[in-house]
Amino acid sequence: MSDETMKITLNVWRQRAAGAPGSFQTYTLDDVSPHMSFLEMLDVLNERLLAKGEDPVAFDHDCREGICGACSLVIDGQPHGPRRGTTTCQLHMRSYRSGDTITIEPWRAAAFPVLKDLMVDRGAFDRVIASGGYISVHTGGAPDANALPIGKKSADEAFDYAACIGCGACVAACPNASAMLFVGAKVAHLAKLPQGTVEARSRVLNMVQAMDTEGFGACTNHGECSAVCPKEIPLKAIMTLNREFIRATVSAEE
Amino acid sequence: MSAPSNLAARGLLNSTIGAKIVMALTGFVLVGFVVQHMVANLQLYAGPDALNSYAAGLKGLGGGSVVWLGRAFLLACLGLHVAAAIKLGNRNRAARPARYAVQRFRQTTYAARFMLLTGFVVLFFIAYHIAHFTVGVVQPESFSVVDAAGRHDVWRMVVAGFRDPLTATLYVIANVAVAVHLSHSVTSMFATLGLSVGRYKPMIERIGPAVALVVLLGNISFPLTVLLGLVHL
Ligand code: HEM
Ligand code: SF4
Ligand code: FES
Repeated sequence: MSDETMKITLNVWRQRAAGAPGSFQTYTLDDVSPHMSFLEMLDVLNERLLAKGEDPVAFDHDCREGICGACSLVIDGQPHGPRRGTTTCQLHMRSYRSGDTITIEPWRAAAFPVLKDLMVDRGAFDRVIASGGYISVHTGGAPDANALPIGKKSADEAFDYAACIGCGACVAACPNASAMLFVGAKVAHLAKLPQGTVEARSRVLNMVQAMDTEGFGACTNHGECSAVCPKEIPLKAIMTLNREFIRATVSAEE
Repeated sequence: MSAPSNLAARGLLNSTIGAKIVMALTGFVLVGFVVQHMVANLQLYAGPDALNSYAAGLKGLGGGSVVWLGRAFLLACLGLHVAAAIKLGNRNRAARPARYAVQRFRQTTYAARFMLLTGFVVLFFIAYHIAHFTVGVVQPESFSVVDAAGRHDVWRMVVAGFRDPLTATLYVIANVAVAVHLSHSVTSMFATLGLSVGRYKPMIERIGPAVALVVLLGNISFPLTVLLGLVHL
């Protein structure tokens, strides 16, 4: 890989506050190192803006190692940028060439209102989780390891669904701004485990109701969500969600 | 954790997944009808007697009541399907009020993106098609013909109808819209019902385009063979 610095032009969505009108601003960086991460490149931009007394570009980030789900940029029309299975913070400038122009936008969904620039409020996901994305257990001493045997296949599947970091890229990518991959991952994760089956019925009904209340769209099986998901949650999560929903709706309990 | 108490009152159409399931189940009925309709019409190639006696038999089932029950059921399914489509379409548009300046898709298809559009083309076509061959107001002169056995001459009606290039072209275009709708929807239907998983998944991904192609070839063959003079009065 070349160590030569690159010239990058950025088209960045700037919006002063929630509800304020926004527009694209163009910035040019002449000395971007290919070793920088995408967010480090934005850090450099912000340092320059601060030095000039301008307002830095607001964007979400926290772990910068692909596990927290905070980073959230639509880069050239793709949530988290061009690389599959990669969060924005794990995208590096070596994916670009000198002279490239990159357009950066926030997640766009009614349920994720823009707070400022590239930062959106993902509280809707928290409320969906609070509606049923948990199990109720008695507190007390830690249970013995392996006291509750779980089949290898179920454990693996539950773990794969649990990999969802709640970033919201699925919503951002979906032409309908549907949250069904996220909700499906949560429902499927818990439905695969014995701890989760106790509340399975009310969980899926409550979470679907919360998802609808927040104003997310409905799945029409485009498949964009799974294609951009940095954790590559499979579309099967939505099949499981639908099956759990059908089962809960037709079941006679409660 | 308790289940939402008002769920029963909300009804299936009022939740996104519930409305999708209504679309899938009514869509299933409609697809079944479309396939059956195409296959039955292949009797056009068996000649006037085969098609006319099939049509007369169908209309005579249960003293004529079966056809009306079938029509009512299909119309109800279509009504529910369209109602759910409009409801979800509005909801989905409202879910993304601000559009992206740049949007690059990785997975979806044109068929999937224009479902509502192809759906409405199909809806207008259904209305026209019923006016044409069921009510007989589009080409009344070829509608009111009777064959030697005194039955409605469906064969002659269809062949005479498709001799008009404009009518034939309209049917071909409409059937392309039907096929585009089916190519996404039949696969999507299985996904909505949560069935596109495991070893069935590869098959289900192909079934939409396959059904669409078969229905398209069957249906457009009727106007095309008539136009080309392969089937003539
Ligand atoms: C013969 C007529 C029709 C047939 C056979 C048919 C069939 C289907 C099927 C099987 C589905 C899949 C349901 C699912 O994804 O769960 C579907 C979806 C859909 N249909 Fe139809 N349909 C017909 C007419 C219409 C009409 C008249 C409209 C328009 C108003 C319409 C609009 C839609 C929409 C918007 C979807 C959802 C797309 C999606 O989920 O990807 N359809 N249709
Ligand atoms: S399903 Fe994937 S894209 Fe959606 S929130 Fe979870 S990790 Fe992010
Ligand atoms: S900053 Fe934590 S996943 Fe990107």
